[in-house]
Amino acid sequence: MRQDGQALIETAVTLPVLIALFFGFLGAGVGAQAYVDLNTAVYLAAASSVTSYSDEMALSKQYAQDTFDATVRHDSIIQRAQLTCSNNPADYAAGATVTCQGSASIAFSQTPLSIIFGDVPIGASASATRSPYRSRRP
Amino acid sequence: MRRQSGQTLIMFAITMTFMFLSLVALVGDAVTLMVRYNQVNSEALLAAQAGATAVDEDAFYQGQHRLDMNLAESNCYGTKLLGGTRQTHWVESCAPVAGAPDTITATVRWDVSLPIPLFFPQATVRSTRTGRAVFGGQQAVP
Repeated sequence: MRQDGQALIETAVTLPVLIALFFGFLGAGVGAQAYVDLNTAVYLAAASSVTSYSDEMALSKQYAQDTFDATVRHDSIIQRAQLTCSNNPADYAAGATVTCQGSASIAFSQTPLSIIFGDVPIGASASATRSPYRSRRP
Repeated sequence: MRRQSGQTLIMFAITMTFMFLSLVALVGDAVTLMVRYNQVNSEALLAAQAGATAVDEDAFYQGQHRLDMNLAESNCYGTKLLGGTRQTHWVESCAPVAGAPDTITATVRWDVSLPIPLFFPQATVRSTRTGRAVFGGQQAVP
């Protein structure tokens, strides 16, 4: 029985599957890391927000935004990152709870993983409570 | 004797299929659990911090640094959680730490449905974190 080229054909069939599997696992790992980074950035933003003076919505949001930006910029695969914190001024009073939501895209299109993945939208949310003794701006 | 040609090929194909599926399930489930654990960990930290804001004022003006535990637990349990349902993702416990009346420990739990339930349909991630009240000084300012 002729077996010339059999190994070549078997390799040609299995190699794409193995490559797809490899890139799939790599993509899953990269995606998970991006999500963890976004979640951490939103958590830190919410925690940072409640350290500002009480009843200062703009300042609290600025604290949150600065923290968020400084955290996500370290991960280049996270693109179009946006942070939104509560718009209700009462949430910025002493003892109140602020909720922040972050969204972003995992930019697989800028990596070799684009042969398998497109850009994937992700989101995260966190709530933090301001101390009831947080003072107002002097 | 029956023909046995191709038997190894079939065994190999079955074994490899199972191994590949297991590998995909392992990676998919592990990644999901890693992401969920990170979220639960952040929520436990924020729950503990929320609880630690409940300073006991009466005690403070008597020179004691401790939490109003009822309020602390209420703040801690009130932490907002994202994802899952109340039955699968919740603040499991908020409790004082023995011997440290200014400290509260929060545990957040999530019974995560695994995306590829090859071996288990569900797994539990849980994180416990502790928060301590900040008093800003040793004495009450009149």
